[in-house]
Order: sequence, then C-alpha cells, then structure tokens
Amino acid sequence: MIARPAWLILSFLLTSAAAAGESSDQRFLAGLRERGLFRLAETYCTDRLKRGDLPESQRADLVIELSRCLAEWAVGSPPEERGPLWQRASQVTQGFAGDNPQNPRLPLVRLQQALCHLARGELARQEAQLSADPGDLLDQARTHLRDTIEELNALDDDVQRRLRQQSLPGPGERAGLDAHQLASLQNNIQYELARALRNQAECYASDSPDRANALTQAVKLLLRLAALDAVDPLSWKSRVDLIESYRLLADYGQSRRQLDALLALKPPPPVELRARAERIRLALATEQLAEAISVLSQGRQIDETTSPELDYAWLETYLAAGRAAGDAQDNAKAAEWQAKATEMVEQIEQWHGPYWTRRAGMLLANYVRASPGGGDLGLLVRAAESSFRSGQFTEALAGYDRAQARAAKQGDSARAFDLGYIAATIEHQRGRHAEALERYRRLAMAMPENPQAPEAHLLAIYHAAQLAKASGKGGKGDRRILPERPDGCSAQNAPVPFSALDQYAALLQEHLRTWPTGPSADQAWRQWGRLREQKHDWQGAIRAYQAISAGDADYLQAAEAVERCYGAWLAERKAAGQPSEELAGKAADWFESLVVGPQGRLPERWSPLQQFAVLAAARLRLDHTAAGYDRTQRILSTALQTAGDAPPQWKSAARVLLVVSLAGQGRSRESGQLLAEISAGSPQQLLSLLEGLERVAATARPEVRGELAQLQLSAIKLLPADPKALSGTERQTLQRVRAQALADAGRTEEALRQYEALAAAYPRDGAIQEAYARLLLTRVDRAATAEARKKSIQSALEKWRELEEKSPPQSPRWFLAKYWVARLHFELGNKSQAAKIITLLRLLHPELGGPELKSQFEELLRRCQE
Amino acid sequence: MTPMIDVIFQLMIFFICTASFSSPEMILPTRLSLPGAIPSAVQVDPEQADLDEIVVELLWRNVDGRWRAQWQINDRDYGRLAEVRAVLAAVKQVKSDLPVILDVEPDVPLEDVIDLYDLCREVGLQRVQFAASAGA
Repeated sequence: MIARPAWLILSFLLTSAAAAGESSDQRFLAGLRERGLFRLAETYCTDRLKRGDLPESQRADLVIELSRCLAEWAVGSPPEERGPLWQRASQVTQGFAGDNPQNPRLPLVRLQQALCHLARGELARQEAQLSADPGDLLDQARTHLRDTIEELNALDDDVQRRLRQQSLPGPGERAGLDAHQLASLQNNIQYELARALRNQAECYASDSPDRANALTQAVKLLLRLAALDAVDPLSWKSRVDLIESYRLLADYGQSRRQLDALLALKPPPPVELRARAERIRLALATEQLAEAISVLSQGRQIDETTSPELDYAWLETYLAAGRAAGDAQDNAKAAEWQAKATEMVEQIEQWHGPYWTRRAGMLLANYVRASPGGGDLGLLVRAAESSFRSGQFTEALAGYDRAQARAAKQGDSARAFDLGYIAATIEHQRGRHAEALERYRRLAMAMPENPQAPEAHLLAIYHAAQLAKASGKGGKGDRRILPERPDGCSAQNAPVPFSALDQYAALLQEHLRTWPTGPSADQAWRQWGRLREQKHDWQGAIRAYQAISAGDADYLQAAEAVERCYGAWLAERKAAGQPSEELAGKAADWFESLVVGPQGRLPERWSPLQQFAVLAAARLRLDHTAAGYDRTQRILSTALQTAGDAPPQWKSAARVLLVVSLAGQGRSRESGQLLAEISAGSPQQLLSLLEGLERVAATARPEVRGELAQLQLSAIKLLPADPKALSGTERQTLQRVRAQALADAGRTEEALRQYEALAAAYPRDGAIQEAYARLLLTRVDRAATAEARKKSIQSALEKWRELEEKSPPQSPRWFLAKYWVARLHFELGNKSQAAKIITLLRLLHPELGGPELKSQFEELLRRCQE
Repeated sequence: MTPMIDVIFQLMIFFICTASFSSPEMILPTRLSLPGAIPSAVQVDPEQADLDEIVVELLWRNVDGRWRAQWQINDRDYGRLAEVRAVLAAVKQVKSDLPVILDVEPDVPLEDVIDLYDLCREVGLQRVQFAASAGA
C-alpha cells in the first residue's frame, strides 16, 4: 500500500464520528486516493455535490474530501503541475465557507483549508532544504506557513468561543458539533498549529531567534497534547512530535528522555516506527553514526507495518555513513553504503508512492551534489532522475551529464548514450529546441554506431525544423551552426549568417551522409524532398522522394509526391515555353517501373502503390506527350482486366484515362463505346476526362477533332444537371470545354454564344478570351459576303486588340495578339499599318515571341511589302 | 554705406543667376505625362492605336564601381547612348509622331536627361514627353 503524507489527513477525531466510523463515501474516497485515482475521486465528489437534496453535514464532509483529494494530488504531482491543484483545493473550501456561513460543520471545512496551506508550506520547506537554490522555495514556505498559523489561531479562537457558548443541542441542531467534538477539534487545531510552528522554525537558520521562538511555542502546545489520554491518537503523535521539536531545539537530552519514556509505554507499531526514525535522527544530529547504524539492526517493520519516515531515516543513515567513509578515503566502504542508499530509494519508491520517492530522490541528489566524487554511476543516475521528478531541470541535466561522463569513463558507451539521450529528451519535452537540437546532434555524432544514433539525429532535425518554423521563412537564426554547411563552409568563418532553414538543410544532409540507408534515411529523404519542393527545386525534390526505399511504410505518399513535383515542374516548363515531352516520358517510365517491378512483368495482384503508379504514368503520358497513347491504352486495359479487386474509384479513373488514350489513337468509336459504359464516374473524373479529350483534340487532325468533340459533348451529358454538384472553377472548366467542343464539332454560332457569355463572365481569364478571339477568326473564314467578312474581321480585331491590352507585355499571349492585330489589318487591306506594327515590334523585341511566331511575323511582313 | 552697397550687389548677382537658371526649363517644348492625367475623352489616332508607345527609361547605375547612365527602351537594356540613338532613329522611320516617353530616375544628372531629350529631337521624334509619378 502506498503511504500518504500523514499530515494531509484531517485527523481530528470527533467522538461520535469515531464511534460511528467513517461513512461509506469516506471509505470509498480513501480507497480511490490510496490508489492514486484522484481524478475519479474528484469526479465522484463534484457529482455528489451537484445534488440539491444533499444534507448540510454531508455537503461539508464532501467538500473536505474533495479538498483533501486535490491537495494529495498536488503533493504527489511534479512541481509544474501542482499550482492549479493547490488553487482548486483552496477554492473548494473557501467557496463553501463563503456560501454556507451558518453551516454547523464550517469549522471542520476551515480546518481543512488551513491544512491545505500547511501542506503547501511544509512541502516547499522540505524541498527548499534539499534544493541547490532554496531562496524562492523558502519564501514560499514562509508565506504559506504564516497564513496557516493565522488561520489556525483564528479558528482556535472561534472554537474556543463556540465552546463557551455551547449548550445542550436542540432537536434541530443534530448536525452541529457538540462540546466533546469541539474540544476534540480544538486539540487537533493545536496539534496542527504546533506542526505549522515547527515547520516555520525549520525555515530559519539553526541559531536564529525566530527558529527558537517558533519551536518553543510548538513545544508548549505539544506538552499539553502529549499529556492526553493514551486512547487519544493525538497523544501518541504529539509525543513523537515533541521529541522532534526538542531535537530541532538542539535540546538533545530532553529529546532522548522523551523518546525513552515513549518507548517504555509500548506504543502502537506505527508510533514505534516513527520513534525509531527519531532515534536515528537524534543519533545523526549528535554525530553518533555508529548508534544510528545500530538502530538499523532493529529492522524496518513491526508486524508487517512499515513507515516511510523510518525508511527515509534509514536512507539518511546510509548517506551519512557513505559520506563518512568518503571522508575517511575508504572508497570501497563508501561505494557499499551508496549502493545501499540507491537500493533504499528503490524500496521507498516501491512502498511509499511519489511523494516519498521524490523526497528520497532529492536527498540523494543533495548528497551527490555535496560529494566531491559524486558517488557511483547508479547513484548519479538516481540523483539525476530525482532532480528531474522534482522539477529541477537544470540540476537534472547536470546530473545526467555527470552520469554520462562517468559511464563513458567506465567504457560503457551504450549506457553513456542512453543517459545522454535522456538528457536531450528532457530538453525535448521542455520544448527548448536549440538546446535539444545541440544535445541530440552531439550525442548522435559522437556515437554514430549506436543503434539509436540515427533516431537521436532525426530528433535534432525535428528541433532544427521547429527553429526554422519559429524564425519565419528561413530567417536568420541566432544559433551557431552545428554541422557543416552544404557548401562546405564552417559556420564560424561563414561570410553570411546561417539561417535556421539552412541549418535544417545541413542537418538533413549530414544525416544522409552518416546514415545513408535504413528507416531514418527514408525519413530524412522525405524531409529533404519536402524542403526542395518548397523551394520549387523539382528535380532535387523528385530525386529525394525517389531515394526513399520501396519498403518504407509511406512509400505510396512518396510516389504521390513524385507525381506532384513532376506535375509542377512540367507546368513550369510549359509556361516558360520549354519542351516537356521528354521529361514527362521519363517520369512516366519511372511510374511504370513501379508497376512492372524489376522483372518487367505486369503484376497479377495490384497493390495500392501499383494502382496509383499506373494512373500516374497514364496521366503523364496523356497530358504531356503526343505519343504513347497505345502504350498507355495497353497498360490500362491490362490493369482493368487484372485488378478486379481494385476500388471502384480507381476503376472509374482508369476507364476515363482509357477513353482518352483510345481517342488519342483516333479510335473514337471504341472510346465512345467505353464512354457509354462510364456513368458511375464522379463529376470530377468526368471533368478530367473532358480535359483529357480537350488536350488530345488540340493536336488532332480536324476530322478527328470533330469526332472527339462529339465524344466530349456525350461526356458532358453524363455530368449531373445540378450546377451545385460542381465548384465554381469546375463549372468554368465545363463551360469552356463545352464551348470548345461545340466549336470543334462545327457548331460555330452556338460556340460563339457560349464563348461570348464566358468572355463576359470571366473578363480577366486570358485562356477564355484567347479561345473566343480564335473562334471569331473562324467566322471570318465562313463569311458569305465581303461586307460580312469585313464586319467579322473588325469584330475579331477588336477582341485581339483587347487581348493585347490585357496581356502582360512580352508574354506569349501578348505576342500572339500582336500578330493577329497585324494579320487582321492585313486582311482588311491595311498593309502599311500591318507592316508598321511588325517593324516596330521587331525593332523593340527582335525575338518576336519565339521562333515559330517570328517566322509567321516575317512571312506576314513579306506579304505586306509585296 | 560701403557694406550696404556690397549687400545689394550680392543680391543682384543672386537674382540674375536664379533667373538665368529657370529660363531653359521653361522653354523646353514638352509636357509631363502623369498617370491618369490624360482625359478619357481624348481621341486616339486610329493608326497609332496598334503601335506600341516608346518608353525610354533613363537609369543611374553603378557599373564596375562607377556611377553612370543606363537606358532601357520598352524594358530592353542598352549600355550606350549610340545604341539608343539607332533604335530611336529606326522608330522615327516607322512613325515620327509616335509618342516617346522619357522616364528618368531621380538621381540621374540633368545633363544626361538633356542629352537624351536632345537625341530624341535630333533623330526627328516629334512627341517627346516626360513621365512623372502621380504624386509629382
């Protein structure tokens, strides 16, 4: 069973309550608290307190239980989690006192409130005694203890007043406290007051008058309580506390006499165990180490009862003996005592729960700090752990560093690595990115052969990423660069400051150099790929993603990233007027290699990766290459035949691509038949089909284009009539494709009406405006009369002129518009103006929009000059 | 009395000098072209509508450690004034009354501005304008 700090228990015994025993609620809640199920206990109390029909006395008891639960929870928690718990523990009782000033059990609630403050003060005082930097903790302890003493004195006065006013209880006052109970309560208040004074005394130096004054007051109170009848549990506790108070007053003779008198009375086992602990402390205080050690021979248990106080005293003895052996240069003996101390800390952890474990650990850390040699490795590790549990992170890190150095000195590199890893992880958990980065990286690079080294280095990379994120878009980091820069310069002599993003990149490269294979390398490649992708270095990103091993769990995502990067790269090249067919073919080859594998055979069963890869390859070939329709069609047909268990969405997407690949080969009838089978495709897939057919049509012969247009118009009919099924962009695409399909199908007037509406709706969409302007040119060719032709030319000229004005100067569309403006002037018979336009344009921009357009310009100029 | 005569004499010299500086600026036969300053009702020559306007940017750049004038005609760089002259002469052959807008950086010395302006006039361009920012 885990021991709780005894002083948290509201230990006053009301005669009637003692007779009746604890309520079922109290027993249940005590059980939950003993098992550390504080949240459950809290929920139980708060749920019960919500009941409106709860009697006043039960409400007060539940408030006390809730406050106890929260206070015990705080005591067992790490320092950084305690604040809110302490606050709530106090608020519960304060709130009750404010809302129920007439509740007859209010004094009990007020005592619980004072006990919360006392517990807080005592804990701070204990931790201050073992801390390297006790200043703040001592201040906190003094404040809380001062408040406690004030509260207890006020409560004592109040109970005293109630006792004086006490009369026989009337019929309606059964829930109130009778004289007996009030007297018992007063004893408890004075007992706690003595404890608060003792704690307050320990906040001052041993020769301080404040300390002597507080202890004298405590002794005075305890003398009265110790004289109570032995059946009163307060009597035993007070006697032990009296012994302790005399010891703290340095009145060792009186303390020893009181101790002997107590033991002669054969106290109950828990009291005797505490008395044994006091005997040890008394011996240690009087520098009689041998006597303290001799007490150990009496054992740690009586009738299977253990005491955390006694175990803690044992630990104090072991450490004192270890220190004495160290002072005597008897290292072997010192190591023996230290080993016993380490073992005792483990025993305390096992038997007495987090509060005592933390206290024991802090004692150990204090010993290590004060010892010149620091103790053996086990002790150093224990001490570091304890400092961490106590929230003393700087000390914990220093402790782990010492332990790591000791392990390395002993040749235990694995242990040294583990300890360094723990230290780095402390910084990781604290979110101190720069410090964590430095520790993880230093550790990994110092012992790269350790199996955990790649993981440590990846964590360093993670922290570098966080630093880069915090410093904005690769802002200049304030940290020194750790690894080499990608260009080989070291940070110290780098001519320009090294940004956090550069640091991140350098770490990734360092990882790939040091651990080129394995899961960590896959992760590093993935991150490197993302970084290159963000920088629009498509080639670098693709190379990184492709370097990820096929066995990686997220390989499918890597393949998707490769397709994404190829898509962006191809679009970029296209926009810049660069050839893209070869690149697209290379990309498609890579995806096909994922499908056929090293054996070069199509799979019998298609994995999700292969299903994705076959579609990616098909998309690349169909979207970016003029050839390859037959190859794509063959692979897709086989895939559709053999991948029977593939998801319906995949089948639908594959069929859509198959339609395009058939159409691209001029097999319009087959593609039409297949299209007729596609009705279950999503609107987005059908749109994708339409765009695919549009791309095929753009380079097809006029007669094929007409058939493709019919196919597109059929596909459009498969789309849902409800416009809400498509997004705004999708609706625009659909309207554009429909207009172009109508034009290709020879339905020029319908197409013109569609384009006119589109051009009006999207005046800034260059592609739509250009398509409309082109369509207007077809009307010129179809004009029946000279007048109609002239009118058509003028209307087209207006549109191209508008397009030229709205296009960015020197863009491909701007040059094209220039050409058509000149050409339409020529068609109007205004050869001189056309020649002027071209001459001036050639003068200012001799490249004339690229070789293809340049030859058209020159041909037109020649015709103008004829 | 002598100091008073000296003061008056100095003042006279000052006024004469400032008066002589302002006159050449006033007689430059050109106008500032401000964005949005041209009323929308202005009739545009239909012949001119499809011809690019010529924008000559006069820049002041540090080239090989020496500050000097650089030119751009419709975003195309020219390093020597002779090249600018050749292009503008060819432009004049296309259409002599094509508007030429001179966009001068604030740091450019006045003599380089005058040189460019004179060059435009010399090659026979009839409509030379200066660009200015809207806040000018």
